[in-house]
Amino acid sequence: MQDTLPFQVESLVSEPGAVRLVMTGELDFGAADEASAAVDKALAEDLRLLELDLAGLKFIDSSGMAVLMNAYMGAGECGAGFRIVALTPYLRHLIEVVALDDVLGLPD
Amino acid sequence: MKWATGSADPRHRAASPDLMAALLERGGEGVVLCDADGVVTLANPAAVRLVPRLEPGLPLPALLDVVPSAPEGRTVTYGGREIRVRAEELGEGRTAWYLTAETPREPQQTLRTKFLLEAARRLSASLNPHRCARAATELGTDFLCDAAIVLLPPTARRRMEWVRAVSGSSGPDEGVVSAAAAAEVPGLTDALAGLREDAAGRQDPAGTPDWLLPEGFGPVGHLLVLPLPGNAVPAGAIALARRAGRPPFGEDDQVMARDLATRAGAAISAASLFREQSTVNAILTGDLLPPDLPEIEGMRLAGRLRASQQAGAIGGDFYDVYLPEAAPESGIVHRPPLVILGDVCGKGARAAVLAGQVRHSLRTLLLLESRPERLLELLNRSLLASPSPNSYVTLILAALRSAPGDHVLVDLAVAGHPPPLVLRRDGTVEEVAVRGSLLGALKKISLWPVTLDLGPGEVCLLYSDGITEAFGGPSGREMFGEERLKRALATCAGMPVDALVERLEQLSTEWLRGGQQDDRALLAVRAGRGTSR
Repeated sequence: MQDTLPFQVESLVSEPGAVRLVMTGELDFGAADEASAAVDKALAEDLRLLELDLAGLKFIDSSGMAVLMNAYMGAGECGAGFRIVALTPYLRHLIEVVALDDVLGLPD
Repeated sequence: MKWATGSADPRHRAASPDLMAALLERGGEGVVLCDADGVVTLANPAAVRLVPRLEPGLPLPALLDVVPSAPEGRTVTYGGREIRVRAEELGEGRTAWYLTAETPREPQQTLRTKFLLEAARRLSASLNPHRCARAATELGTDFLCDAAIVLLPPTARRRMEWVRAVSGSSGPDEGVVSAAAAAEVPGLTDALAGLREDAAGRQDPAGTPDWLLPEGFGPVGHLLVLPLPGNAVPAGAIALARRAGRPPFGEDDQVMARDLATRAGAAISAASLFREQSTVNAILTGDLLPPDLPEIEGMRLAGRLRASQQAGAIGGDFYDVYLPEAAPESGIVHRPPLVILGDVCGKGARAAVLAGQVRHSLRTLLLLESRPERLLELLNRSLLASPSPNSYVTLILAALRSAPGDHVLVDLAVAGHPPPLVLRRDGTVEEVAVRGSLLGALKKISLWPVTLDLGPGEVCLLYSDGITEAFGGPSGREMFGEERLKRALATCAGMPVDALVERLEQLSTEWLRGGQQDDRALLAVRAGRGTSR
């Protein structure tokens, strides 16, 4: 598609032991590596809670969905909590399609 | 030199000192006179132009301090240019120096620049090793020699392909020789082994085997054989031949020949690598090619699979049909035909491998299990055990049971995939209320399978998200979306199922308006045998 929005991820320490990754743009095949790296980096820091702010994600494909799944499972393996704090209606719909809405604990 | 002497005509009298001075003044050759102490007594303008430090009364500059022994003089470099210096003793310790600028080297450099530009242009024009080889031979005959032959590395069958260009004849010709015959070319074995330390590739032209050159080429006077450097192993070798009677390959020619070999080698090895990878890709993506859809009693099937246009980014959409065993043996479950449509995570060869894995796993599981939800649970376990990362798959299974009155009962289980759509007889379109977790992520998956009853002429449509997520439309940035797909499907009531999928695919393509497309898969099942309601 034309005018693709570059993917960006910003890492914020929301409270001690908690990292919030703010992802914006298009999380697709080309951006998946960068997003994964940000998740891995966050999880490497003896984390208590991993939060994802996905309100700025315009598009996500299967590779992007895999990043979210890996983040969820990676947090579980580290004994850290996982929470999606914000997302678009489109992304919520996609997560419902893959029936992960209960698992990922979406915000109301 | 001759002087006019004793002529009656004053105009023909011996040259006067004035005239001599004028000659020196305007002559193109630099003339310097110096005395026995090495002090300059005269330097004409041409000499001063070449060596500005020359001045009468001052000592000779250092570059003129040694009288060249050879009568033709020697060449010195001064101020960035080459100057030929001759000297002559004039008696009484006096010396005359004659300075001439060497023929500027620009013409040769221009030729080399032109060659390099042409080489870059022609050798980069193809990703086909043979075409690269043809370009290399033509560069050879255009710039360097009368015949150029590229020999590609031996194949598994100990044969070598060659490409040959001969100046004056039309386009390069090609052939194959045994590796043994190829080894007759002097220096070839070394060149193929990557050895190039010998005298810049110069070989004895008398050793040229007959097959290397076309009939009537005549005797070879000069021969260069150079390796074509590739990735770790040479990409072959190039032989450059000049006919007897032509000048030998000079230093500049040899530099250019090495340039040609280096560039041709890089181009040919890149092209070979590309060819190998294309072959591997073709094998892998073969697993993504949709099967021919069979005739199934009581229903009609149609499918379309459109792969992404991005090279090397083959996506992971696939569909397949599994017919029951014609004569099931004991221990093999009896089951209805099953169609599946799915999407594996990612793109490229990895996605193709994963899709192939899913299709083959399912084929095996179907020998022992027929319940769609149970099949998905087993597949999920198999994917969780897979060592490759991101083995995530979304999938629809649809078991197709013929029922009385041209009905078809569709046992649907959906794992993380957009639910199928149903086109009812009255033209309404419903989304089937079926969902479930995607596969390969969680140990425990949740599935809500349903059985759908299709009346005669009614259609169940399975699709991948490449259809609904096609970006385009008036703004070029809008998604096709599920609502638009539903409306499009509603316009297809009564259509034969082939025409229906074709129309939906066309609408989605039009929506893209030439924009980049992802994979798109469509598979439709229509109950009943007829093509109309």
